[in-house]
Amino acid sequence: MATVYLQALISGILIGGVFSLISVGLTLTFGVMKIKNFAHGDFLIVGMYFAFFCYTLLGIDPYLAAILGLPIFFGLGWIIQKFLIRPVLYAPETIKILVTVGISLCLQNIAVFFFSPDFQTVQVAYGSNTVEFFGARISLTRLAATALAVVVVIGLYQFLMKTRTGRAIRACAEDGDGALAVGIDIDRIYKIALGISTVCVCLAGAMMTPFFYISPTVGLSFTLTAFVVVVLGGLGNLKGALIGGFIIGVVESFGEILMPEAALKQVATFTIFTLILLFRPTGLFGTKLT
Amino acid sequence: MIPQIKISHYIYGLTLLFLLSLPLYAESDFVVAVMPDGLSGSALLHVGILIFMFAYLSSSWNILGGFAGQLSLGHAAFFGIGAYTSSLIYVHTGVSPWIGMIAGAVIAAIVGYGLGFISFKYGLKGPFFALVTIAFAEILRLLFLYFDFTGGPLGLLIPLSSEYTFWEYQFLEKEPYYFIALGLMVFGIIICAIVSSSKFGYYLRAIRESEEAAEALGIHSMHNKMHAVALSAAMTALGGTFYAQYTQYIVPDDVIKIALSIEIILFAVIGGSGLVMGPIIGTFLLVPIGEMSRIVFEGGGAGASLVALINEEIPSGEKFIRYLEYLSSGGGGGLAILLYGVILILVCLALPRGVLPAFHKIGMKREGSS
Repeated sequence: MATVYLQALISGILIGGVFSLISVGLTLTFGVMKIKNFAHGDFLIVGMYFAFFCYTLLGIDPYLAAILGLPIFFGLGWIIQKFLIRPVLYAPETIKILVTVGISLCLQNIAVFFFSPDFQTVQVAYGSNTVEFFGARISLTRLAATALAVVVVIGLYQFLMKTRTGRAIRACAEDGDGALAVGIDIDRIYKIALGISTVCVCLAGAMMTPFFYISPTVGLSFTLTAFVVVVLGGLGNLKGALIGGFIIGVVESFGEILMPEAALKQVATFTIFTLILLFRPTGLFGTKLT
Repeated sequence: MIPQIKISHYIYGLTLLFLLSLPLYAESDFVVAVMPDGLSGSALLHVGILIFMFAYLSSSWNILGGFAGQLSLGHAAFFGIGAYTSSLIYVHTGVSPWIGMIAGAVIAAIVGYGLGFISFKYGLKGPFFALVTIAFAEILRLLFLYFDFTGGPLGLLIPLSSEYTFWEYQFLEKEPYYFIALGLMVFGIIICAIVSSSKFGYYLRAIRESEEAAEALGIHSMHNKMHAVALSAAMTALGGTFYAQYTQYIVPDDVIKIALSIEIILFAVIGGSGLVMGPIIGTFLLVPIGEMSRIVFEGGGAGASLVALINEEIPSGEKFIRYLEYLSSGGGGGLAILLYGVILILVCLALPRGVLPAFHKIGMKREGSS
């Protein structure tokens, strides 16, 4: 019995890393420009399909594809910020949300149109390799995804803390007008912020392909998860998103073993999400971009 | 201001007369000649029914999302409650769906009150209310898939009645459905117009603009928002029953899907949310565009599988041509929604108040110049 719980704990931590990486992207745009990006999860499919086509057409390993795709992922965020988000930055809240809903519809249905709504998978040779850990099995691809996710998040944190651009991003998160007053090009910072945000999600998507199915609508549940993590970790708080991702991963994983009926697992997950949103423990880790 | 309203009233009246008389000549030679292939006769009526139903659903959403400014992304939940309540009552007891329709509306209103109470008690606003409505709709969809009494993933087939009478809510022809849907839409417009000019409507708009200011003026924002959820939910449920009777078959993945919730919002926002006629204009503009794209790219990737194509042992040039053929036959589908998404973004960027206020502006300029 202990093995079951250990297994659940490990599975939760392994998926939690992916949640963290996705949520960090959301919390960054949340903190810097107060955009609630409902298309956030849908950027996952950009990374997924990129890795899928690199693998099936060119034989490129998904992990290599994830790195090769970085400029594309960043450019996509940059362009979307420049042409779609920037014009509505000072519009009413509903309009801001609906633009991102529109982006979500476009991303999903571009994928449906060009790549068909069928489920796809990337079957790499090492896909089913596992290691034993006190009787629990750890999937190597999941372990790699989580480890890489944590590395990326720590790297991003260092970037925000140590570099000039990073400090400028934090300044914008703190006070946009103030940042403008001291001569920071906030337009450019916003573009960089959304670029980094899409890079985080797309990386997560590409790294998930060895163990996760690919379909145009896979993003929605991740959008929800990311919002819950961001709310739990404190709006705009990177550390909070990192820790929150692992908490949600483990909670979801334990919810699954406590729910005997397979069909009710997802219900449990959504119910937990709703409860977290309702009781919003904002400030669990504070809301500063630190 | 007043002359414009009169002109638009004439236009709406004439449109209604035209729609009322449409079934008389939907199959006439002229219509068959003018309309593209497959869009005359009963197919034309079908598009009409879709337009009226979505116009009605968007109007229902408009009370909560437009007037009160509370963005619900889970209205499919109420639609599903309406569809399942009347259908389950009919299947098990044989009571007319007309009665079931009202029962569904009552249940949806109660659920709406509950959802509103929980959400607003904890101060959910904007994106967080939207997220909770999404989660609520997803929970409901999963539960309806899980339980046996709803037919689970197999869905619920509404048994054919021995006779086709109004009371049974089943008809062989499309015409009765057409007129019921048209009636629903007119009902939706009337309710919205009443709400819009009532004290309740002014309260909701005040809450939308600034909840704090509304509270300071003595408006009980939580009560009013809850009433808005309940009214909106009950109206949406009526549409659900209509859909169930029209298609005679409902399944959770179809009636409680997120895509439906989003479509409902799209039409309202693009037309002009918070305006009585906004959702109607939006639906009349968008549904024909969507249906046209479905007819032009009919089938949608019939037969071709992308993975099979990639793995086939043919030269890559030929593969590419085959892929282009696949795209020109509609690819994997989804073009209609893609178009909707693009239009939604464009409207948000260029006409954030929707299309209808833009029309009004043009009309006003004309008045000024003449």
